[in-house]
Amino acid sequence: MDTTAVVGTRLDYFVILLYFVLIFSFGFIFARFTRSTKDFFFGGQRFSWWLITFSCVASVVGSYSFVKYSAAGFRYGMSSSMTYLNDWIVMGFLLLGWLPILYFGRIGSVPDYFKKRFDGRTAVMATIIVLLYMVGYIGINLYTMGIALNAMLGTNIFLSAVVVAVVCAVYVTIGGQTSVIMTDLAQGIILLIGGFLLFFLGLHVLGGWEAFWSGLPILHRLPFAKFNEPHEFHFVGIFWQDGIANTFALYMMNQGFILRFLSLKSVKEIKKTFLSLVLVLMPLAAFAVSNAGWLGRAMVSQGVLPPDVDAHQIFVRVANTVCQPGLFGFVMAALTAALMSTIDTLINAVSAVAVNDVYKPYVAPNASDKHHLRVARIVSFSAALMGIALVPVFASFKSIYVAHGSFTASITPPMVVTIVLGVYWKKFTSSAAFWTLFGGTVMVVLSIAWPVLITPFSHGVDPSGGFKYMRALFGLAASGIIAVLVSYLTKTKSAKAIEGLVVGTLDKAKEKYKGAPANEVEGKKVAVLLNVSEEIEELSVSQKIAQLMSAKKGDIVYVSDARRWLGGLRSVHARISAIHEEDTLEVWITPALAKQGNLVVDRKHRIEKII
Amino acid sequence: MGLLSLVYQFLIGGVIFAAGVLFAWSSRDYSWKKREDRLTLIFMIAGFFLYCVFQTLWHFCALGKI
Repeated sequence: MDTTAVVGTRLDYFVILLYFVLIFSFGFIFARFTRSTKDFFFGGQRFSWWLITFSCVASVVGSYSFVKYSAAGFRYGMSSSMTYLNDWIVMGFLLLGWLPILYFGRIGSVPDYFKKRFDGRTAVMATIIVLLYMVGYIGINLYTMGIALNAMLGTNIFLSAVVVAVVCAVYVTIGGQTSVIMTDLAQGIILLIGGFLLFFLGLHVLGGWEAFWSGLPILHRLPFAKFNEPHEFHFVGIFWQDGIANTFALYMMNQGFILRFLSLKSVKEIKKTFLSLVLVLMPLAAFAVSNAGWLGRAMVSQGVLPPDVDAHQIFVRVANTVCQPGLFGFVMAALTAALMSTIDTLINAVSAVAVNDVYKPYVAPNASDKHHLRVARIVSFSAALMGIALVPVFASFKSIYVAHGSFTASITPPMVVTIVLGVYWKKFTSSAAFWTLFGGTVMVVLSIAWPVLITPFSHGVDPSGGFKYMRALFGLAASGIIAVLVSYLTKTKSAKAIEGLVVGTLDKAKEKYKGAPANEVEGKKVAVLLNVSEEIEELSVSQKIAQLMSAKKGDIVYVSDARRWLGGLRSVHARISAIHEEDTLEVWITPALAKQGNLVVDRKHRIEKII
Repeated sequence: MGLLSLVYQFLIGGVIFAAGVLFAWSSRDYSWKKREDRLTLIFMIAGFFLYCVFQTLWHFCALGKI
């Protein structure tokens, strides 16, 4: 690998340092909102869609994204964006199936779902797979950050990874999910601005859009790669590995995203978040992470960059070519933002699975929440260390894209099949789920030893590449066949036992969530005066407010500070315990709930019915 | 050039997308009468067509046919 350092100026280092200070400050400021494991993992389930959408973009875009997609963009053109532009395929499964079931079922993780939907042994296997998947993701992100810093500063790849991992681990350990969300909001904005800034500066250097467009070969301008060649980057492989297996895995089994969706105030907000993410921000992110590669190709055509420039370093080389001192530092800060926002999410997620699915149920079920919070913080730091240990493993692959693709294609298909069938197929049995995970993983491992197994699914892809991407389709098919066969040979759980856990029983999930039948009559949000009283059970609203919200006693409502820009940081869910007769717009709440939601009594508030 | 990839994306991808929507919508969980359900469905289908139109136009634009 080329280790030529492209060294920035002092101003660039100052900008990067400023960025680190900003992120640390964010992390520490919002750490005070974390008092319990619910806050540490779920951020108190209080946030608005716009805040989570930006933080999700920051989590999707890892530092490997800038390096990997710029390299792909440089080699293969605009088709490098196709990975980010196919998340729409899973919208139905996510928005109408998986996410409402998770939220209303108060399910905190995939292993938790498997324990309820199937059995303990399937949950244990899921725990192992999910942890492997996420720790692996931490490792690949740290590795690519090491490459970027190596290119920029000439520092050792492993040492760079260690420094960044420790910085992330510190603020996640202190602040938990709230710190992660708030820092990721800032980082999401920084990385999008950084990506777009780079493109406009690049156009300026090249002499405008026409010069850029004409500098790209025809194949580099197309939105999709060639169908089945070359074996390193072809459409059909990316479609199945990235578009299907990896996208399902990202939103369904990546605990970081599950926690992010569960930190929203309602299912309605989850839908807004996912739609705005897939339809608006992902296309923007695709452009932001890839355009350095496209610019690089046009620059090579025009002689601005040498033809033998290393694709892995194209992002840094283009940034260094087009940016003035200071701006280069900002773009590098964007790259760092992409890394840290992904790592922090994953560190928090690993901690959630380890504590909620392993430590709490099997090691210390009777310990206090304070004790579990302490363990969560220790695990967070340990997860970062495990990611560091994986850096040399990923460094042994020739291409980051291949390393990442091989990793996800091997580990995700059995899990994706088990989750999708678990949610959508009532006849899918517990034994079938276990054997799908076990047998599917075995089949994928066998296909690594004997790639010939994948040939029937190869779509004509050259076998000399070992079918790294097509392994995902093989894994999905093999897992699907095992799932169906074993389901027909084993006993299905009773309909009662899976109520609220499968599509078609969402009303039961809502009923369990609320503790009573759901009230889904549409109501209004109401601006209210908030009062605190110890004499009420939970929350009391006036008759007038109840009418405006179409709410009844027992309904769950959401009280929030009226300042929308807070994104729900000062808010709380509560159950209406009484409706008073007065014709005013006053709400009474217990001091404990006011404290839990960080509500400030003399401020304007809003109330809305959730269910 | 590259047309097969474009067709595969929206044909096979479209079938998987439609399966996710139809399986859930045909259950009793969702109803056209509920505003939230209705809007979710409209946005999802509109999103699919937007992607389809956008990437098709991009494809032909890249080939200089538009």
